[in-house]
Amino acid sequence: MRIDLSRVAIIARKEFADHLTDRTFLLVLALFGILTVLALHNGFDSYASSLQWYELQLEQMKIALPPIPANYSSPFIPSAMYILLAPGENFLLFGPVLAIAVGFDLISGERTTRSLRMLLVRPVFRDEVITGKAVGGAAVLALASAVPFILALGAMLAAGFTVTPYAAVMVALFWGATVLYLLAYFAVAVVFSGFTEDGGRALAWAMAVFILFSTVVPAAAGYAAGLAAGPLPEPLPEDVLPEEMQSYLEEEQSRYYGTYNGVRDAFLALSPNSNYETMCDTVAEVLVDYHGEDAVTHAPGELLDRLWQNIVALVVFPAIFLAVAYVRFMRIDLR
Amino acid sequence: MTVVRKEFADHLTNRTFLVLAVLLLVVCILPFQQGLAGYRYAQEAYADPVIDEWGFHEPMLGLPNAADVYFPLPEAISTAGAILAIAMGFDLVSRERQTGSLKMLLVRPIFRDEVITGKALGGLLALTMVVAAGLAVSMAVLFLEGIVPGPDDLVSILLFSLATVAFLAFYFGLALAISTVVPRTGKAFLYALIAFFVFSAVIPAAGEVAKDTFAGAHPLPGASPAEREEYQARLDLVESVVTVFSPQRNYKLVAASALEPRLTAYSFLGGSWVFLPDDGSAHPMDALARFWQNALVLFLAPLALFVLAYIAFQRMDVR
Repeated sequence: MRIDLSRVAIIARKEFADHLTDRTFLLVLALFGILTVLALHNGFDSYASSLQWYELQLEQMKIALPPIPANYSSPFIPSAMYILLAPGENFLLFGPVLAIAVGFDLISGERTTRSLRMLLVRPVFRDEVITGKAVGGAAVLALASAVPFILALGAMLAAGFTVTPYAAVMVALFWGATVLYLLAYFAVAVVFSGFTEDGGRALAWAMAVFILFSTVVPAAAGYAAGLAAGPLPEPLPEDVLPEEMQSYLEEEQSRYYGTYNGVRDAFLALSPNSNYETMCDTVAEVLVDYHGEDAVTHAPGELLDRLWQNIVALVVFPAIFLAVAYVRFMRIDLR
Repeated sequence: MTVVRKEFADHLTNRTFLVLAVLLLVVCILPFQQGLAGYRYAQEAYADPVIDEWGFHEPMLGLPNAADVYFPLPEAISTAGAILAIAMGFDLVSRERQTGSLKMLLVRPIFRDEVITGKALGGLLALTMVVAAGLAVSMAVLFLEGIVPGPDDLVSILLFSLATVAFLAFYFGLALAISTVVPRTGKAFLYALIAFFVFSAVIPAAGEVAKDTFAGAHPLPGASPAEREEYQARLDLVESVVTVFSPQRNYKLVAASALEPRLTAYSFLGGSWVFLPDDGSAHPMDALARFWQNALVLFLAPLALFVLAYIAFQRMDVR
């Protein structure tokens, strides 16, 4: 069998153009733009006020000198890097809406308007149709999610902050994580789109999955971890030796928290939301390390090392759903 | 009346509705547990006041009320509940148009306004059912835990449930209105979600910006009290305007004031609560009377949306 990608490319291109000219999609994207601009505004504001606060602290230190109080640490220079992360928060909650909006009508829309039959009487294989549709949708999501990050980078440059290549790489990683996250919900929407004949129902089910993974799974994870780890370790009676107490505490507590975190993380790995959140937090942490005099840089490889579990989970999740959608589409009965 | 009964039965046997309703109840379990834990903690603290190593009393506010257990709930309901309500309303009219059953319905001896009113009432009834079921379950748990709500608590909890129904009705009405305007079901749901998105993210974010623009900079340390007061007044104004326009916040405020009669001010931007001292003279309606504008908006907004849906349905071109 010869694999001909040109037909897939044609369908992908058509889907891509369709989404980009779709009014609803553009509306959601415009809302994202507004949210990003507002978040950037807030970011710049809080940066300015923390800078002001920093100056005030410096002045007070000058007045207080000399005797420096022993517990007085020098004030922190505020980091401007937070501003770069402004788009992330919006994606966590509303990114899925964007992804579901792109995916929910992919198959069911063509079924209700009956254009799917017309499409399939042409010389094109079914798998080419579904692959093309998935590729086109994914490309649109990648493009759409880049917009807020480009806005943020542009605003930083326009405001006169230096964006080093290192920071840019981190933002690019962050964007990659966002694309994977959006892809996860896109895949969910496509599956339901294949199983229900009606777009509205598909959307309702996809939203139910979103609620499940954003609130129910984290709550269940905490609960299951609490069950698995049992009660908190009992403190020893007061009259034991300090060393004994020390070793007991270390051993017991590490065992307890080992079980707790292990079970919880295993549960959370199921949820795209928690995986994405972990990745956001790590990138934020890394970016914040990177400022002032003692800037710490982490190689991107090291970061990937720390996050590989989340990345694998975020790749596997949409892969499973897309596979289900693929099988379903191959066997769909079009009458 | 026939339409109401049929719609009500349809909702209750609809799989999507059932799944979402169960999800909503599950989502509420965790905050409810937190509320219970807080109740027990307050009870213990009341029975046995702890003085910590710095010599402070635990900052407890006296004997806890049964209504306090419900306090963490609005947070969870405001998202999952809104999606449930949208899922109920989005296809009421648009699906009948899409499948052509609306034409069949309208050739029968029935007026158009009866159809839309019946649909709205049926949905409202189903929403009330969900809230009532949640209320019944939570009351059962309360009794099992040995917490007996007093008459004041019962009134508070009832008011809270009413506020919840009104909030859900808002999003149901929104979905219904969009459903009459947009002919395709998928698009109707999407537009309703976008409206939800605007109300829950864009308006609060715009509020943050409005706060900075209208209220000006935070007075620096050392500013005169008059300056501070003026700043606070401007801040309060922006705050109240944003709250009225954001159904989620409006609902949270009204629900909180129904449950906690001593509430006098609640700032979403600053995240602060202000309570009156606990002198035992608070009545369930007190805080609601203080925030009557918000309560009014909460109950009138669904009505306005229903009127919109009604007009759109009356003038709809069915061919």
